[in-house]
Amino acid sequence: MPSLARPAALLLLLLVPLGAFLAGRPEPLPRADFTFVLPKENATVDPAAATSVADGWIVQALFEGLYRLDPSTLAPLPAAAESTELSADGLTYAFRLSPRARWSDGRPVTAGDFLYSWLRLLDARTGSSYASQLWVIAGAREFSTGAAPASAVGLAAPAPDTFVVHLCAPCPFFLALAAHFSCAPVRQDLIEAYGDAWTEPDRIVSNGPYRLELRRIRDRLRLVRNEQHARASATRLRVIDALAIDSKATALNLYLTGDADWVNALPAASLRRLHGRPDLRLNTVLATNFLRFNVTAPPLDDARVRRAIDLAIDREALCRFVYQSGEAPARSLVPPALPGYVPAAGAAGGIEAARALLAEAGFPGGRGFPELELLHAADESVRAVAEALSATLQQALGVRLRPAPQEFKVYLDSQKQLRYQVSLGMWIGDYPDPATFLDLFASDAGANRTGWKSARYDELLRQAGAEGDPARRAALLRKAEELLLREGPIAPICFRGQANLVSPRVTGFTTNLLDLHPLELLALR
Amino acid sequence: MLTYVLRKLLSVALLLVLVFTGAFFLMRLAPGGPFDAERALPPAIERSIAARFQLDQPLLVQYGSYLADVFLRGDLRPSFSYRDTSVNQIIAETLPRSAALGAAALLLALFLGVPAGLLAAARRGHARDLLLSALFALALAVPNFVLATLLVLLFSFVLPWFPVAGFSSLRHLVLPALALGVPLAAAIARLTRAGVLEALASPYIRTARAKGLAPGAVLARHALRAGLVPVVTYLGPACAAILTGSLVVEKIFAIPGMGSFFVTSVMNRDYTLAMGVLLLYFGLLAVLNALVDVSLHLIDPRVELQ
Repeated sequence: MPSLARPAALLLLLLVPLGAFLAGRPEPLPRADFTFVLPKENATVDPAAATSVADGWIVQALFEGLYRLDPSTLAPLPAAAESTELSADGLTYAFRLSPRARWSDGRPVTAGDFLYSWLRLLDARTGSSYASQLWVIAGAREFSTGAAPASAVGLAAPAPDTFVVHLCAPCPFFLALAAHFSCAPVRQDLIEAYGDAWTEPDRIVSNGPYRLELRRIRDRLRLVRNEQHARASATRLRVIDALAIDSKATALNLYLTGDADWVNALPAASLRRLHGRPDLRLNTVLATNFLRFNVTAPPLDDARVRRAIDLAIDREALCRFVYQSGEAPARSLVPPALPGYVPAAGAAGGIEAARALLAEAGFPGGRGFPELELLHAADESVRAVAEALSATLQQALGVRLRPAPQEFKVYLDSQKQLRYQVSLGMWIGDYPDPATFLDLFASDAGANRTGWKSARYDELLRQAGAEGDPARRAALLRKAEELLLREGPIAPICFRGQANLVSPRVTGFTTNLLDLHPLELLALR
Repeated sequence: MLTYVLRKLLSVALLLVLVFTGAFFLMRLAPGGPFDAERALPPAIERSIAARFQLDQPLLVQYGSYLADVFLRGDLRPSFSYRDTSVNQIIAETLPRSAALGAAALLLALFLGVPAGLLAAARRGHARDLLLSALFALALAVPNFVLATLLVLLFSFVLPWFPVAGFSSLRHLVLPALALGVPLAAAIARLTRAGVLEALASPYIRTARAKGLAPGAVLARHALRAGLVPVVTYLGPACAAILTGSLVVEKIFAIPGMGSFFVTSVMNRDYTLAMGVLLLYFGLLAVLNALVDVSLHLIDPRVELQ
């Protein structure tokens, strides 16, 4: 071996890391006007594929549906649509599109765009989690399930500026549904040309207040104001970064050093110490935490046992000492504050009533009661709740519920297969109507996962679905909720809270039940 | 040398097929699927997604076509969790960032570790050796999340010199490279020290000294070369781990690398992404080990290539 080979080889070994460093070193980015941390990395910007609340924020910054929700009142406001005519029977909506609605490439938004996008959302091949939300449209369920062709769906575009929707039953919250992020229009030409890759920044064309400038996996999305948008002149922030940060502690650090202006997911361990800060905003959202009972096996097949556990939950203590984000004790599944609906009052009575019920079921003082598993998702904050719950139930009733954490996907699977006894569950409402919660426990609902089936409950939901009068509909839904709480396949625990840390220099930030924060309304002092 | 390279390549390919097979079936055995969520999908839609990702076919058919895609076409398929991105794209985008951070940490570790080990070995048993050895032990014992958190506290909050997290300038790399590199430097220093001490005890060093070579020259020219053998051996696997990213350090400093995929892809049942990062890791490990064999052979000709 020539004597130079050895040093050369060693040098080469050093050049490999040096090259790696130079190839992947950070590319500097000019600072955005406004930076916020997403609670979870954005999985997609495709309206039909998005599922999380935060994906919804991004989709709604990029795309604009027929309607949007006012963030303070949640009332539907015209967006891509200018006005709507509803037929006398409450079944046909005729949306008149705004002449100012344009795509970011300047092309007008047409009724054909909505027709294509809504059929795509409904199409089973798209695989959208939200397809079933539009099954109030005539023929939509049949199309989604493959029983009817697309032409049978009650959608039409008789003129470029007129989009007509025929429902199969009156739906008082239909405009709110139309405002959901999944119903935003997408471009047929791009999807046909590029397939799934149509969302890449250099290809995507959108019609919302922002357009997508950059997407770095695990790092950020950069949004830039869409100058073609009808309200562009009123949109204050020009460049917005949405950061994907895994660690909540890191997100908080970024906020504390001024590198982020808004953080929506905060570490549970720090929340208590953040209380009292003027920039911490706590509010309840349209989401409920509850216990699911597997009603197919003893002892939980006995409604008295489930009621006893329900009554013995110390909701106030859990909300005060364990949850830290402004949660409120829940006695119903549907959160209060939905317009036109008063949630059913849950079971009344205290610990004494709970003990009596348990004794009646054959377990006086908890004697003879088998140890049960309390299934929950393996997550730091959920574990604290499971442990507190288990301790208080043992104290109150003498029953043992052993916390059993499972990795999230396993936890979902165990519930789906009914391989559990009691589990900690939750549901986030999608639109401001009780049906977004109550539909969950219909006998054939996929997310029921309790084994509880009630023909009466299904019938009440069906009647409510066909009822045109809002007050009578609300009464029917309330009856259904009463039945659900009486028979107790679930025990509500709390209405979820949401903590937002928002920099004092930000204006236009509103908290609301749906945790919606339209970026176009934000500004800096 | 050529036969060595060819044989090595063949064994790497075989290893990757084995890893692929094991991972494929193990992942399918794990309960829960990629599309399970709180929101249950209507059965018709669930079936259509399964068909789109070819999850509706018999397992062996899936295995065969996936194997062909990966090994014949180099197509790792679309990711399940990043809905509109392929695994090839994800790795192409995130690996260079992890590798850049890893390389910075590695260079730091080498430039700190080797001289420190040499310094300690030069005065065995003296105060300097004891102090340095204690420091190495401490740096190895402190878990990297503690070190990372301390670095953030000290150099981002108490002394606001470096950003807390992110990846938009070279300054963003300093703290994570330290957090990743310091324990590695300690490991390298300990190995260097042990290797050099062993070499110093061997007869050829005595010969060199007897011939009147200056102590510094003995150390740097003869003892160090032999002392580096364990370091280089250790560097192969260490490189594979450090270049593919550290879960903890990337998480704390919000480095958009691929370190967290080793855990999150499995948790999300993102079968294709998990497979992609596994194959990459094992492939890199095998290649680096082969490189180590070659460089050992070059450093010390007594080491044969087999």
